[in-house]
Amino acid sequence: MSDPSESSGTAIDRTALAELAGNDRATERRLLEVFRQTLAADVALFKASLGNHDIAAATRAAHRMKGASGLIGATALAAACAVIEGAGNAGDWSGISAGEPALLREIECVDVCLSRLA
Amino acid sequence: MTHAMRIADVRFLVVEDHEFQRLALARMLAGLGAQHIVEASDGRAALGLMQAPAQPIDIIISDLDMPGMDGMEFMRHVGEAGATVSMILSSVHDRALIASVATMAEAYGIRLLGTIEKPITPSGLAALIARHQPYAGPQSKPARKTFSEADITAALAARLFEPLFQPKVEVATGRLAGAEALARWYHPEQGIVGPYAFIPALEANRRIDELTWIILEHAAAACREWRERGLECSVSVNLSLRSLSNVGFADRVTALVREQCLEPRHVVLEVTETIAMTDIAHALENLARLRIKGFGLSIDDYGTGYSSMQQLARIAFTEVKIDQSFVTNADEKESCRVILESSLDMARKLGLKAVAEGVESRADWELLKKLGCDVAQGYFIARPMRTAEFVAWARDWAAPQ
Repeated sequence: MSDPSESSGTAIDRTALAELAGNDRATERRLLEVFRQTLAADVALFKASLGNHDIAAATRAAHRMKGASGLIGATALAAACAVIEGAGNAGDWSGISAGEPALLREIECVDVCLSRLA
Repeated sequence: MTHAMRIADVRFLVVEDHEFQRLALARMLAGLGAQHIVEASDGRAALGLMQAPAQPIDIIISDLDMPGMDGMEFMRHVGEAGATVSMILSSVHDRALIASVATMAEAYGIRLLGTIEKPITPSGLAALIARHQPYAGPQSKPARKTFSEADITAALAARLFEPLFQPKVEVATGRLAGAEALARWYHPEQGIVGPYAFIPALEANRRIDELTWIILEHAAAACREWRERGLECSVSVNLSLRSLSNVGFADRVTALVREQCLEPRHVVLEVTETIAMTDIAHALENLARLRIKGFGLSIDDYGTGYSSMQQLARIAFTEVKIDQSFVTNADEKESCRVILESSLDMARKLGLKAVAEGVESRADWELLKKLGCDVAQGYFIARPMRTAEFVAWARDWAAPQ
């Protein structure tokens, strides 16, 4: 029953999500809702940390997003977060800046996917 | 889970500050068949949840990296409260932390089932949960009892301390190499009490020798009996640093072993890496004398201290025991495997026998075989047991093919 309007490269792995939700639609919706809320909060933290030039906070935000996105099969987003986290752990501010566009892009893809799934 | 608990009966506590990750983890556990799951968003809330004695928690899954109270501080509080729980820790991404965390868990009497990187997968989680064993018998009492010096003195006088023996086998041949004597207190009310309840107190009161003599006597007598029954093996006994600082110690050990009609060459004395690190003349003299008398000398918990090559060269060890934190699941943890390999390599080059502790699975065993480790010890081979069971076990033992 795949949505023909979804591109083949969906940002969220529907199978992973369904498995996590025990194939229960209500649980799935709840997981997506909480994911959306926490992602928005983590993105806000990330952006604020960039503004404050706070490398520890940026790394932490990326770590949080990485953990969350990995659970829902948003592998591209998780990978983008891992890049930021790696740079942050190495104290490499320029690495974080370099990884930021890709991260924001992946977040947007996930947001689009989330609104389609809602 | 075979002899372990059914997952539906296991009580889980999930400690995770990230709301979505906490929810997902709880769902993952439910997906694995768990039916008792409580959640906490931080360590403080978690500790509050653990206060309900009617619903004791079996397994805690906690993030190490939480704001406010981090996973290590949380673990400390859990340990200090005397909870007999198992733990799984996530976000242990700093590789150097793994050994520290494992050592800390053990010190607090918490069974660390393992550490897991994020994102957590159901199979990764299931593999760690499968290692959980319910705490048997009296030790499942919620509070870990502490004992007074008077209690311990009385127990020493009544000779309530006895060793259990955990087999050590040659990896290449499967042949029985020996057994390590592990001190236990046969308490009339509390059941079988483990070392953390009495060793620190004995060390602090400078009375550890009294225990050492009892254990050594039992161990030597047991080994003599095994050898009389045709088992060609040695027995290993742990020594304390404090004992080694007494000048007459080596002579007393020798006399005691000989009194049991056992030759020193069938006894291996284990000293922890920290002892080896200590620059105390008496300790060195005692260790040298013990070597001269023919005892084997084993440097224990290798890898967990700050040792250097110098220590191994300075004291004539015959054996290196590699700490379980580098052995258990080493095939899954690259940093541990690196340390394991280099420890084995070093042992080979120095002509020392390498003994790996904490062999808990076939995968651990196969890896040791592949890396050419000499001897292995761990639950995959056998649990610690009484001497009578040991003989029966040795007769039935066949190495895994």
